[in-house]
Amino acid sequence: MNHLRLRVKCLVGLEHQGALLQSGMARVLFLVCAMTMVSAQQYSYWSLESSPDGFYRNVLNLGASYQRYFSFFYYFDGFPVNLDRLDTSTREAAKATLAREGVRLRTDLNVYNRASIFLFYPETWLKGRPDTAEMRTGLAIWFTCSLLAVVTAFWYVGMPVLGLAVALLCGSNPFQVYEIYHLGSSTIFSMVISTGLTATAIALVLSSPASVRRPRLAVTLVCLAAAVCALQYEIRLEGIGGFLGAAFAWVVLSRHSVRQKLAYACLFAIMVAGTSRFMSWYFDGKLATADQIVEQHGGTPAKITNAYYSTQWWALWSGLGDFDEKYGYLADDRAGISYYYGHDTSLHSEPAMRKDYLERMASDPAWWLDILGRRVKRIFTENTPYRVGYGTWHIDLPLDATIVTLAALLPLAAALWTWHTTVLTMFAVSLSIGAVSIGQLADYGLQFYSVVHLFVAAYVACVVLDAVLALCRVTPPALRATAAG
Amino acid sequence: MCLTRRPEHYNRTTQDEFPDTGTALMTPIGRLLRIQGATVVAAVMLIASGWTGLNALQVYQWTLPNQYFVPPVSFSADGRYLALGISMGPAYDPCPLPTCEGRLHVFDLRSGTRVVASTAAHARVMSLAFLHHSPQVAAGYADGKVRVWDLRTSQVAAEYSCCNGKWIRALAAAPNDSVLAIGAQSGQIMLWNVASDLGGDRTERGSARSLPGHVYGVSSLVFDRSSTYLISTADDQHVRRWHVGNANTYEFSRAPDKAKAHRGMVKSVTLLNGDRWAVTGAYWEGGTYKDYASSSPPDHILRLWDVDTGRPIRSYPLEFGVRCCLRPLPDGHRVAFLRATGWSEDPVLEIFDFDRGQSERTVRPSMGESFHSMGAHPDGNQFVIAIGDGNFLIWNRGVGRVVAQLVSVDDGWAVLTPDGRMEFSDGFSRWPCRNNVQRACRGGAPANSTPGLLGRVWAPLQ
Repeated sequence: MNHLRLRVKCLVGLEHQGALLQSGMARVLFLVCAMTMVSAQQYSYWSLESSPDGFYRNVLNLGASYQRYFSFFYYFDGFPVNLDRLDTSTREAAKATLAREGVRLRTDLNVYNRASIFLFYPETWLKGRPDTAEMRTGLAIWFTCSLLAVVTAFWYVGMPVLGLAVALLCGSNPFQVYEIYHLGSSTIFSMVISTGLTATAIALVLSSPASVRRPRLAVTLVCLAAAVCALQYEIRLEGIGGFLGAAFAWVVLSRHSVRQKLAYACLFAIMVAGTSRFMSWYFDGKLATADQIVEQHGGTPAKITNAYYSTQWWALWSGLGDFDEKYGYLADDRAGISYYYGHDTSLHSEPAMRKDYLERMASDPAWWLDILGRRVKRIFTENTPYRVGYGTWHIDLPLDATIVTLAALLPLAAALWTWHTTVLTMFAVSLSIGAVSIGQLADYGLQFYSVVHLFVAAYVACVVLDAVLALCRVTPPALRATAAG
Repeated sequence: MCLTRRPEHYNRTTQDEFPDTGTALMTPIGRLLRIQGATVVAAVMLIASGWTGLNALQVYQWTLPNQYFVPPVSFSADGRYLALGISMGPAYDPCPLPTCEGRLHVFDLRSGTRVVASTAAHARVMSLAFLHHSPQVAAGYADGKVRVWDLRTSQVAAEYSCCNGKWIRALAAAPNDSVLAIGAQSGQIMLWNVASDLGGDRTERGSARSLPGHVYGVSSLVFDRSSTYLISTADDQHVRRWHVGNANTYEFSRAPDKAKAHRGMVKSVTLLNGDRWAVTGAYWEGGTYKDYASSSPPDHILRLWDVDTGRPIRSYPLEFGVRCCLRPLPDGHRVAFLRATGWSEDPVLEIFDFDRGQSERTVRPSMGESFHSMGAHPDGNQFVIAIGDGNFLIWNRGVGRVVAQLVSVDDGWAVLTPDGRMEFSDGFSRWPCRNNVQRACRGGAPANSTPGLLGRVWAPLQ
């Protein structure tokens, strides 16, 4: 029985293919090749001269782009002042525009997603001017880095082929490719997957036995995760969803001691709070600068501090209208604002939306659960295709989503049976990338935030490959050691 | 196969992972039971701290760049008067008193004078409607007040407090002036018996009755010529027709064919073809990615309805959704409206011809301008477009360009034509030169005024 379990454990742990990469040279060569392939694939999209296929996309437009603020930020170090459709091609032109606009200048209020302004820099450096820069290049760099992190993490925990397969599938994901590489006004909706993949990579390494033996590595990763989490919060709140599964997987599955877990959790919280505080201080300074410049030109300053605000319950509330209008909810976030201003405004907007959401959930839990169920189903069955692409070329693998999902249940059950930490971590974390898809609006295309089906497909393919290798009598070290014993 | 030694980080064997053979091969349940209590406590603490942290963020109210405040522009039915709702204060919602104040300015286009210029500290003016048989205009305010201004006395003739103080986003006077329909942000629709209240003393209460209304804010109202029916549109994506006498209603849009319904917030409605057709337009925010990927997204559509039956007649795809202000042109088969242009949301003025089933003309704002709302003269030739800060463009359809700019503020008003002529009202010289008037000023002092210019701008219409 124990031998059977060991065999199954080797299979679900993909140890047979790991056995093919035993020599240091082979491992390094594989890593270099994998990273080159991933980078080349992303470069092929970046260098396209037309937008990729836009069928799989997020149709939301809110928070899409802060291009309108970037010229002012770039030249005058203030944020956020809208100079959209005005001449800001050079610093002199921007100064002339400020003088000409005068009283019409205004510091905008309640700008969220504010750290996304940094994503305009790479393209500005390439083009040499801020007024036509978009986030495309910045987003591409961030996504490529997250894919490389995934490749490296899977390689580190001994599943290099799986890491490459996941990276290639996620890197070809038509939703992500469109959101990053389309021409024209950039959006930040790709950040959820990019950050989710980074969280996956960090959690995988952090949950591995090696991180127990290497506390400095663990501390570095915790700090890195906290910084990414805090930065993501300043760019797009929902991207934090990727960290929920990572935290869950790490707390439950990792082999750190309880004391270590508590220490790392505290470190993570402190780092997130510290980074957030720093970002707030930074943007408060930019707001003050913007107010000062606007006032100098006779415009209207914001004259407020801490203009940041959250809209999470608004999004959750709007999602109650995803599938029916039983209670009058509409899957339209602007309608949510309209509803709020037409009713009890004695509560602030977010608590009011939260109260209404929770009361509705409690009064009709079956209806609420039905919404969640339909969203989960959509994540698996109405998601992006299993696509591998390069530039304008792509091939959609003719795999049925339902069959692939069901096929994954077998190795998943085996992983549970043998308590294979890495595999379980992988599933827990990858599922969490799409957590926002379950909680929020669906019809806008938010189910594409989930790439768990790509993890599943890659994993199933690797298990099949491992089974083939097992039949070819490739022996992983564990079985060899057992046999020798 | 000869296996070489793995490096330390790679040396992850089953034995290494679970040194205790007994533990390594435990069942999952047994393993789960071994998870120490403190780990669970840590998880609970993390969740609790996350929840607390998220709650701590929820302290700010939405203030959004004017999503709902559309500075209203309205002409009287005979085209003699032009009413403008002007906001003093920041351009965001909500902006209550005293941060934002509203002004009502009414011009007599025949005499070229401003006959009403309210300076009292009223809330923002959200909607306007002229009465048909008397020189009076009703204004709906952001604090739920409705005031009827008499243009002969420049005074408030009647006042009504409505709808729990919510924004009055839509007003419509029945053609026989018997009732004034009031549409509020709360979704309420009230029928104010304005005729009787105007006959007596100014009242704070008014006599009104309520229609069931909508769940979300009412965006537009229009009566048919017989004053029998009222058609309302709202942010809840519905278009409804009400019988003024018995408050019976039926849906235009949701039943029986939902596919032909609006799926965005319906922004405006107007009547055409002798009131037999209703035209509605929505600003699209709903729909799915599949809809968007298709050639005709769900609600970038102008919809034409049969008023009698409520059935859809035709739909006309637009480049983007309708932002506001559907106005009928007198030929009976054209409408003008402000249409969104894309994600930047800067609207354009569009004139749509239903006979040809396509747009006749599109007017785009100049660099640095934004169109906020629009009013069409009953003649169908002149349009007044609000561009913010008390500035209005007068666009002439016949010549196809802006023929004048109108500035109306507390101190006075000015009209400026592209050839450099201008007229200033008394007192306007005290107002500093700014914005688009700046180029016509010399060192801050206005140049010479051309008396009667405002009247001549409209002269072809008289």
